[in-house]
Amino acid sequence: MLFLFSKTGETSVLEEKYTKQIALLIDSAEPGMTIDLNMEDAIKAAGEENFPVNEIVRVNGNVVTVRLKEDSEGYSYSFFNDIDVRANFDTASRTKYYFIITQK
Amino acid sequence: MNHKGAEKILSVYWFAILFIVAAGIVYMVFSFYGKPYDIRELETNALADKAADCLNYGGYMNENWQNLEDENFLSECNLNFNVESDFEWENDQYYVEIKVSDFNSNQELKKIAVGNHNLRLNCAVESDNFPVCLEREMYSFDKANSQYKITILSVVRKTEKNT
Repeated sequence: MLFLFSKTGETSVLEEKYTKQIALLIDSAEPGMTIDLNMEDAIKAAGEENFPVNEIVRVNGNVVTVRLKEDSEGYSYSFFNDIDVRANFDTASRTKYYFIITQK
Repeated sequence: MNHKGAEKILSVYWFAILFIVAAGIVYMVFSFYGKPYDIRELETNALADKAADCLNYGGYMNENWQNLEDENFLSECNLNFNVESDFEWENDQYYVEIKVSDFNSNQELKKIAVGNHNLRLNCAVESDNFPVCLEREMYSFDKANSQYKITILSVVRKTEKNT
């Protein structure tokens, strides 16, 4: 059981999972939307690695990157929806990120 | 067989079962988490939706659909086929082909094709190591009540990150 939990909670697995989830959310989004995403397990994992939680998600052009460790490059994935996306850490709940989608 | 001998055999048998079960769990976990999540089918669906919304809204053709061409399709439809530079990708991971034809005569009125044209050649092959293709057909009207058939083919490669 310990092995199973350690595997599912691995930072590399979480990085890939959230990167692809965010890319798909953005691909289906329309300008004017704000999308909340619960990332509690990833935020907790980053906290345990002493990685700044407000730097977990980065959106550069049309590539989203999720990084949970200082010594990791993170996981990147592109989206095809040509819109502006701002990723923000929700400081109130400290368990989620929200994405503000605007027209380019 | 005496009582002690039977116990010994049983404990060996018990450990063998335990080992097989543990090995099975390790194998299943590695085979599941060792492979990346394949989201290309969802991406082809989202791409087809975006292309469809660009031509048609609420069952009616958009007014500017006849102005759409290969050259302006991406910008007019708010699409961006640039990708991350991993695995020596060169913005060649997507392909979209749209055919608009007259519903009654089946005559092709417009064809738009953008992205990496070579990807469509692999659509006949069904394997994880090939691009994922999705073909969708829909019907639409314009304000003059002309009927159109729209065929959308969306293809996503990104094989290295999904298989």
